[in-house]
Amino acid sequence: MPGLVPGIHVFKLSTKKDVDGRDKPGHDREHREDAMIERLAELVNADANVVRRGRFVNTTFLVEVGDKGYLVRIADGRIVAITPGPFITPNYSFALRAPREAWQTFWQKLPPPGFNDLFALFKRGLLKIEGDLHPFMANLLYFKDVLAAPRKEAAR
Amino acid sequence: MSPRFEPIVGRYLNMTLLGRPHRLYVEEAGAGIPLLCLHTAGSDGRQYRGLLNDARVTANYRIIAFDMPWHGKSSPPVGWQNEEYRLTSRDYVRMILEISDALELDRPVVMGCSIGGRIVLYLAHQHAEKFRAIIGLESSPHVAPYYDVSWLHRPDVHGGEVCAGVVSGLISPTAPEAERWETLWHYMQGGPGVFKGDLHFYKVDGDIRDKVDEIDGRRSNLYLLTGEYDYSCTSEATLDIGKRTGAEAVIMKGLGHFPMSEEPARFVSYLLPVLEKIKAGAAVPAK
Repeated sequence: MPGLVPGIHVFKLSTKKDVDGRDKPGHDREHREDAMIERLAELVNADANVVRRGRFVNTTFLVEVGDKGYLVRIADGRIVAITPGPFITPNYSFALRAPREAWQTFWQKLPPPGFNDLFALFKRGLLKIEGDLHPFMANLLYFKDVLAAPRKEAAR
Repeated sequence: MSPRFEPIVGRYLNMTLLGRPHRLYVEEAGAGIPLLCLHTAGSDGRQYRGLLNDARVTANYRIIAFDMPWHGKSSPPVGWQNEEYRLTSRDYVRMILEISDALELDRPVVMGCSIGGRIVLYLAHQHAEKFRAIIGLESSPHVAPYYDVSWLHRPDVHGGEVCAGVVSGLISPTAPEAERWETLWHYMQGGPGVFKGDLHFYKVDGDIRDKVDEIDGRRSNLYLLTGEYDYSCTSEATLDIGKRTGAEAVIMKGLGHFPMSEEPARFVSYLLPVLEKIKAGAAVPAK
């Protein structure tokens, strides 16, 4: 509903704190992806070209990084909320699920062949795309840009 | 920028093709050995703009790039509004032979990319004697469907946007922005259902897996060039054809599924040695 939504939407979510104090391997890595996903809002919303490309997108989709899920809510092309799981009854249009290592490689500044695109991951069987695909396919260039946004800040 | 014309000449060719009258758009540049170029599914001959403008190639080759019927500036046949366009291997082979004859080309070199890279395998298998050499770009004997192609043609999804979205990742991430978006623009301009109709050949009808071993890559002068970022026609698929047919197969670094369009200069650096070999071979009497 363009025009009915107030101007500022970004709920910057703080990185989920490690409150249980356990020292488990891979924990830092997991936090890094948490931070990356949560940076999505800032990276996408700061890019006027991406927001314009998605100006008719109003939906919530699910991204899974390994077994960790995030609901990403989009209004008029801007990311207005990112909610990390676990969820009880998640409500979303479509889901993109890939192993943690696949996303890590995908988010490199210059990903190797086979990891440079959502459809490349998909064809390799690393990415599952499920649900109501209409918003995804009708705005494919936009969603590819959104998911590739962390590359902008990748060290390599 | 001072105005200048490119050396490319474009004309409309009226001819009977597949038994029906057709109006085809044909571009050419250069002089010498005829080099007939075939564009990818859902795009058109503009993909060869870099090659047609490259003096290193046009010095020895007469490059010809036509838009297939339904594509680019070629018209669909009369009555198209009541048909579903679906390309088949049979029609595609006939189309190339009939156009080559109409242009009176003398044993041209044929070079095709993607669906064009597939159909040249059919030419190498069935009609090798009609070509002095065959160049397959992004050649594979078969690609199984990995997404539902009905998304490419339905009224509630913009066809141009989704076709570009589907192929965007096939371009190398290292490609220059201008050439990347020019390549995508061609996809955005395709007619409704045309890309999908080409993919009928690419993913369903045009399965040549059981004939690959019958292709003589040396006798047909078959060369294969594939971009490392192409996840549709993979490097593995190309190298496998090379191994089984004896064709020379090269994997091109920093290129994807549209080498001639996504970074023409880099592509030409891979193509020139092949064209040199073909030219050197042309001096030798036909085997």
